[in-house]
Amino acid sequence: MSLHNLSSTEITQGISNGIFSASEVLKSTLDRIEATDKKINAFTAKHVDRAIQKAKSVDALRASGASLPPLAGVPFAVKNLFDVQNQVTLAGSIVNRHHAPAKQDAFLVQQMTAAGAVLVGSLNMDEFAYGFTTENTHYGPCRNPHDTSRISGGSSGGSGAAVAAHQVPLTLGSDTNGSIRVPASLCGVWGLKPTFGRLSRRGTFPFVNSLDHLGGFANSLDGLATMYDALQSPDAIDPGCHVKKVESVLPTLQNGIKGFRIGVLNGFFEDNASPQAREVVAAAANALGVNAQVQWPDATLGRIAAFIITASEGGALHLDNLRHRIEEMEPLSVDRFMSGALQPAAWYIKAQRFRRLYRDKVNALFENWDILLAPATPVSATIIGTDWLEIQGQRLPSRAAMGLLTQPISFAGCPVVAAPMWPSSNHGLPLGIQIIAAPWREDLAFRVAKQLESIGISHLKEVEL
Amino acid sequence: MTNDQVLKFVQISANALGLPADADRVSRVAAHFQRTAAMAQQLDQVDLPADLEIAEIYCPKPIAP
Repeated sequence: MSLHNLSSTEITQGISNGIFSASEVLKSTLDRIEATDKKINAFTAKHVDRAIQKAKSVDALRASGASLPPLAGVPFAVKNLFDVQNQVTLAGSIVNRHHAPAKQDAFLVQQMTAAGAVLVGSLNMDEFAYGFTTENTHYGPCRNPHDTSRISGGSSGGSGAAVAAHQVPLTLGSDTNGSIRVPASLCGVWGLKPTFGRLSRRGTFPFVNSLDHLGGFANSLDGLATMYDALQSPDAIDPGCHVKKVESVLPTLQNGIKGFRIGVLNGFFEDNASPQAREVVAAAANALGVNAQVQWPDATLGRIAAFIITASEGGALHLDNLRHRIEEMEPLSVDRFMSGALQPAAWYIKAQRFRRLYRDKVNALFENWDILLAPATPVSATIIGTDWLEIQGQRLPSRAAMGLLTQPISFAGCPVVAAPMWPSSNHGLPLGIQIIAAPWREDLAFRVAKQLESIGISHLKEVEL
Repeated sequence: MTNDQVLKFVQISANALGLPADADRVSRVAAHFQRTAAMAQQLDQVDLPADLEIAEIYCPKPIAP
């Protein structure tokens, strides 16, 4: 029986009903990774012994007759900036190799494990998360399962590709400016970037403290919701974790969208979108029966401010690496890190002050709207090594331009479900949309995503590897 | 800033921070810096009230009790 393309819900039900065991699911998962990862290069490490022990413990729990936790026996993997006990946290680099192994799992890995999920490995990414392509020079590029000559997106490229390649049903990633939504779009899988401050970041290697979010990917929307609910918890030790309680989305997923005020972002989000990107947003809007056009406030300035904050904080964080180990850093991003380190303080402070004003304007916008739709990427996956993009007559550096449409949204901290979509004439390549809600309203974004899934417009596709 | 001014700024700032500043690297970093400077100029033109504080540990919206 083929188990590798099951959703997390199908896996937990199958284990619960005795159709297969967690150990059998794990074996199928490891076999699938072994058979496909030479072509994809999503995994940088496998944690086999640990996974076997965890799967056995799930099987023992079932045999005891006890009730099973919500992700019992579901295999998952994490971007390699998450701490995994006894492993060095690489964050896509080779300079971190001299660090001591992590003493314990990252907070979110602990949450997943407590929910019964089985950690099977760590995943490829752009070095220190500074990129949207996962063309990692040290560990090799992560390839798109729909066309292995193309990028998977980044910086959580391994997390998107591993789900698209049906290696694992769930993965964790991080999103500073689009690093979950971009690979979700380019790999054609479900992605979630929650509200800034929703999930604890404790035990992950940072990139930009002011902007870093954690979230995940899934091969089913139910799986994404179940995982998100399992990840939620207040964490008093993380100063960036604002929540005081868990707000589960799974119980409301089927509640429909009656009365929702849904709009489509125009202006910046149209001007920087290819015909395929505009097509998928129009298709989603049509399926939802909406046509209102909405202007996002100061999108260009929001993107600029996010860009400046990212460069400054990233450059400052890696000043010591730039001084002493610059030749070991990723050639595709090291000069951007250095440029960021040299930025005048006045640029950074202006950007941080602007963010307060921007937040108020975005929150005011959501007084009139529940959900806003936009493309997740300007184009679908580019060929590995592409330097420049043409979008509506503009020539843009491709590695930065992939995040054009995600950056203004995460700068406001809004939650986004990235939904997989399939433009009609795009050589079988996906291009996802962003389902954007007001801060702390992930539940609304999930309900709209459920509607798109129910209609049949948002879904994964099989890949041939 | 002219290209020459950017090159000089990158060279001097890199020296001040103790960063490697060979000519090839300075040239590549200057190209990035100049693009960011053009963006920063747009942000600089926005008038902000003097009492607008930086976002610090950013909270996107107060959480409802």
